Amino acid sequence: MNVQLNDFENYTTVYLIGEIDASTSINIQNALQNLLDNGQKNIHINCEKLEYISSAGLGALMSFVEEIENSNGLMVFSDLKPKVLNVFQLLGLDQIMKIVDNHQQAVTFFQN
Amino acid sequence: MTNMAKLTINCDLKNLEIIRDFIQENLSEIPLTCDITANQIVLAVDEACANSIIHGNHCDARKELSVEIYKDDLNDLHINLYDSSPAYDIKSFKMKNIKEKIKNAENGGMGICLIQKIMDEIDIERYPDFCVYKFVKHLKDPIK
Repeated sequence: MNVQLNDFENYTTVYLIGEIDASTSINIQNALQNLLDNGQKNIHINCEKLEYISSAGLGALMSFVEEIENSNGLMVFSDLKPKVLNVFQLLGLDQIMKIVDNHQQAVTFFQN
Repeated sequence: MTNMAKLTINCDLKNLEIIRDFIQENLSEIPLTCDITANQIVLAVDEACANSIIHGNHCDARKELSVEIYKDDLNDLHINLYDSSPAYDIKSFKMKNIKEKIKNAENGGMGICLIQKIMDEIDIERYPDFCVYKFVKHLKDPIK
């Protein structure tokens, strides 16, 4: 599992790559915590290369939702494969988290 | 895949990937399984094993877990997880509201919730020295 970051003027795109399970979810947690510690509150999670996510990975992402919202920031997910989106749906997270189809749609949230 | 396949691993979270590959490989022999269904089954097994490794065996790599998988004549997929730690009642566990969990930055219990949603039958057999988590999936369309 790998996390890559791409910083822009008012947001950061986080690319999740590979498989996120209970063994690797700490990588997301550390990456997001670093962003928040450095004042970045607008985060785009690009899941184009995310092949698998378990509850540990979702938990790592969920743990930052409240903190980001409280700081008037935004976390947007894009490019989820159907099987990954289905995991969000099973827990009802697709109704709570902001999920869009593609990268460009996600970026518009931060440009407006 | 009608013959039983079995895998034994040490209780190290790094072995979850090996378990997922094992389940995926066996599912690939079932033509009815679509991508989402296969991922759901892999996910449920991953969650059950992660739960046993973390909470039951405290990530003690000297301990072992075994997973067996087979399909019966009724097109039911059976997955059994053998664990030497005390059984946890994953059958009757109820997760808190997901919005509350986000508000409180909690993430425990989601794995068991996923197992309950994905598997059609869950049973736990308790023996003096081990327990068996028994899961059955009726092979049909994926749940939404």
